[in-house]
Amino acid sequence: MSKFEQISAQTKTERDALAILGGNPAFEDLLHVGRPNIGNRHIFAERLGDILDRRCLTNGGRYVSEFEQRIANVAGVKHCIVMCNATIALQIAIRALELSGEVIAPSFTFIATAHALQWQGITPVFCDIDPQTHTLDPIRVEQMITPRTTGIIGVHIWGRACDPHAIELVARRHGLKVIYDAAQALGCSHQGRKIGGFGDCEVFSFHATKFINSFEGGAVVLNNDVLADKLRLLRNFGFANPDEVTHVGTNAKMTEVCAAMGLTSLEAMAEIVAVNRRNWEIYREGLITLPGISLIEYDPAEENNYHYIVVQVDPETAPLNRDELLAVLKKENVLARRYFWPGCHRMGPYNALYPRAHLFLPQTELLTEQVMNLPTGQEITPERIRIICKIIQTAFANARDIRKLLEEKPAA
Amino acid sequence: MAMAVECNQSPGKIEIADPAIFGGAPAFETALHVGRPNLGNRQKFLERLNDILDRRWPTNVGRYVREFEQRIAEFLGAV
Repeated sequence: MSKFEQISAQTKTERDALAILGGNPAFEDLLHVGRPNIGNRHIFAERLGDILDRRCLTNGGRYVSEFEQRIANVAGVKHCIVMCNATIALQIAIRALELSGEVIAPSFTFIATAHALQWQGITPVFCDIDPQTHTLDPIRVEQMITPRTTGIIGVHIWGRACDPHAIELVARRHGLKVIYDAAQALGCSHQGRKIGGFGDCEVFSFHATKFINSFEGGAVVLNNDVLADKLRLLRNFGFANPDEVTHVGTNAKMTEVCAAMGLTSLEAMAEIVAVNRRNWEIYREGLITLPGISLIEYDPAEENNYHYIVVQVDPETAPLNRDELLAVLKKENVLARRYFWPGCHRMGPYNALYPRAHLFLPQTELLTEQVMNLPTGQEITPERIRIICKIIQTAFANARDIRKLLEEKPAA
Repeated sequence: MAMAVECNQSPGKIEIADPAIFGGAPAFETALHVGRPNLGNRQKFLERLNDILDRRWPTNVGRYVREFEQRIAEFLGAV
């Protein structure tokens, strides 16, 4: 721990030490919600050297194949088709399943879930979530179905499964396809079964900030041979062989360098989970006694990646609300983030297209005002987490002063 | 090594039976593609890569994407 942070650790229990009330920031550098886990740099450099030596940089080389095989094993599925990013992977999955008209999806998700539909002229019908699980409420899903509905995209928010059995029952009753946006859920399970094999297919993300990273990257995983062939064709311009194109495809191929990073990151998976879990436990210990604060729990009976530290602030019982806490933390150089504020349906394009969507989304609207994510990952040490918890504790103890200050001078 | 094979075999491709399509040995041991990547200075590339990993900023429009865009624009005559 740096000298600077040692001082923060000692002083942040005092009112005047809080940066928002005139003290120094707790950290010299900016603490982000997530920075990439890169694994063993030496092994990555060796792979990179090999790629350059063989001058095979893309178009399904050795490392892409190996990465696909390893991800298929982790997810317990027959097929893994890696792509340049998860948004394109989701778009291709939607295309391969020939979805059209309307598709039911949550609004409480990263904007790409909605974009992947709207981008191809499909209406994302935003459906409300269960306030306990933060995932699609299956009863609401069924109520949103119309004659134009062709599919459901469930999102495994925070790596916790969007009840696949309940969703499947609804889908079967109405003849709908099901895709899971599993961008956050690699290495997680539902009732002992690995996430990856549910629905018609699932989509993982390996973006730099994800649990396992390939700089940029994504994958569609599934067990259906026919659909897997189609996904592979769509990924590579529809080329069935060098002289024959059978589908209107695109270029969604992952490069060898990205796959090499993905493999290297994947080899560190156990270590990353251990760090994430340790961080989550320390945050929990520091925050759980505070009024109005709850931390998203991960079922110990399941496999979890513990990649997200999700704090819910109940404005009725907590002395400061979520946005006030964000302002306090920002002054300390802690860049906590509002995930997924204000919800997809309130973002410009969707608000313009579907201005009444919020009428169906009371739980989503409540949650987007209450949730924030805190920094975690390998760079966030236990000492740093204890300082962050101390800041929140001290801020709560001096909530009246802070609120008054923010009312006079709203946070920039 | 590959060079030696090509030198030995190529002068022999003068008889009708010599071309591989008529049963002769292929001229090249490895497949020759229409184009293979030009890599530039590998050392320089590895230095940049290390810097990317050190700063843990591999995407989302980082330093090198911006520099690359600028250099391409300059190359195309942007002022």
